[in-house]
Amino acid sequence: MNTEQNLLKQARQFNVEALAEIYDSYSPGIFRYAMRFLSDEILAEECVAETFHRLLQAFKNRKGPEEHLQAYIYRIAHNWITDHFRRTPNQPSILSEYHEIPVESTEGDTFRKVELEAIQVALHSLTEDQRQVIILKYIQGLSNEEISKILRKPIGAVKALQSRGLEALRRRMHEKEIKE
Amino acid sequence: MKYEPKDSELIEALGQLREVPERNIARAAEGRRIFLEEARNIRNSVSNRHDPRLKKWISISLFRKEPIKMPTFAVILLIVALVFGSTGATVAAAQSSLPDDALYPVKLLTEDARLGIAGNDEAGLQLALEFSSRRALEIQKMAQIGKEPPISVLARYQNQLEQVVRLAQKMPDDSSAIAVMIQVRQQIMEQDRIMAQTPNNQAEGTIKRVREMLQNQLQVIELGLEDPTQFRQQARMKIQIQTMTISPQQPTNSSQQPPRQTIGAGNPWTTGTPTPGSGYGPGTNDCAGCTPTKVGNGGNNPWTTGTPTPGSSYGPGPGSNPSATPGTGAGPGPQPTVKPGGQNGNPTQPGQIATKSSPQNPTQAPPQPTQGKGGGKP
Repeated sequence: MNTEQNLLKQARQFNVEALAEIYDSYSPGIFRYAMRFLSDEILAEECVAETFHRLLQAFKNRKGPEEHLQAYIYRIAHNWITDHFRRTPNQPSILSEYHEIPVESTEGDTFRKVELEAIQVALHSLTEDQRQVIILKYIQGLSNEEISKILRKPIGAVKALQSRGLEALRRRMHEKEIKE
Repeated sequence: MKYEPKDSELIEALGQLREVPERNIARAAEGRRIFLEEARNIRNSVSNRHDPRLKKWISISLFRKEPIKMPTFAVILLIVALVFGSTGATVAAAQSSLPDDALYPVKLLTEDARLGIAGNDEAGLQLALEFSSRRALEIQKMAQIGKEPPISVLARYQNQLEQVVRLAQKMPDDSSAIAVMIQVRQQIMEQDRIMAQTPNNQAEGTIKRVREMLQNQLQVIELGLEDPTQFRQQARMKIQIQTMTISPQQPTNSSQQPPRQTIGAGNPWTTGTPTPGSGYGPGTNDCAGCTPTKVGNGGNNPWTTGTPTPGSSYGPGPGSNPSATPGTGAGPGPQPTVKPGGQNGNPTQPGQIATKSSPQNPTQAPPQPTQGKGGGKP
């Protein structure tokens, strides 16, 4: 029995040490993932808390993952974020204040700011699946296999989504350059 | 890769978005504490032995893969309980109903059923006595709420009391008859006391009639207590008369029918038991003007004389063959019976012949009564 399965077995028995290990391993990544969508520390913390609360409820109801715990946790978090945007559809996603450039910025900083804004706008124009794959792959840093487990899609479908997502991003940014 | 350079630029640009502010340590610690606290609470509230408990419930639930084979007797018992369980509840609820309630017919049906399955006369008497007490209480309750009891309830009340008297007459010996009559007298007096206490502003006439009826029945019982032998003998006479009336092979000689001559002739057991308002009561024993029924002749029946239907063999017999079978045309003609309510007759049983009664109102109407000597309607 590998480490993750052993950890999950103990977590199902509500072993506090096992659960603490899970929390410490995955909560920072979930926080960052939520921050990239929500751009709000409080909301991101709320997302983390709700994600791990749902995990406990799943264990309590004799459900939850037998393996691939990380994918399971990311899926919970993403569902929570999706629900959040459905509840408050006017909230901006991706565009974040923490990418604001300080007042005493250089020319390079200004160029970086414009580029980041263009990427964020382009990301916002993607389909939900494309956006999620791009964020998980290039921002969150997960592998295709992990993403396929989170999205419950074959790896080939994940790669296709990445390809089409990047192409859409490039096209959007090229269109922006022409306009400017 | 076709878009490798540009994709590399994009990926590099996307990588810049990885930068997020550091997580607040205090908030992170608080979130961790809450998470572990919740885990401890769940662990303490729910035992870890889920599986055995779950399997135990599954084992006793109906949703098993292979349900327990129920014994045949248990199946029958279950069906009986399902079918009659609700009926039993309805019957129980009906026992406190009043005549204007929807469940009252159920109550009466229950009473009839109990009387029908009574093992012997004494058991039937006890039941009839109990049911008569119910009628008294029903009348009282209806009067208390300002309603007049239906006539059908009064009729049933009277029938039950008469049934009590009849069954008391059937007791096997004098001592048991006396014991029963004492009990009946006590019950009737109790019912009369209930009626006396009943407010009669709405049902004054009804209460009065009920009390008269109770007094009449009480009088019969008092007479029975004075001479229990004759009281019981009267029942035997009635049974004998009924048997003679029913049997078509009975002798037609009038000299062999002394009981017929006594019915309606001032019978002491029926003298005091009229139905109030029904015209039912003792005969006047003054039947000089009546047209007597000539039993055994068959030639003087006013409803059949002279009205034969061709080919039907219906008509006056020759009157000379007393042993002939009625209906053959050679024996006695049908005897008219008198309905309760006749002026002179005093039949104590419906359908009982009234040998000294007026032939008015014959129950068997002839096809073409052309000579109505009795003056009654055919």
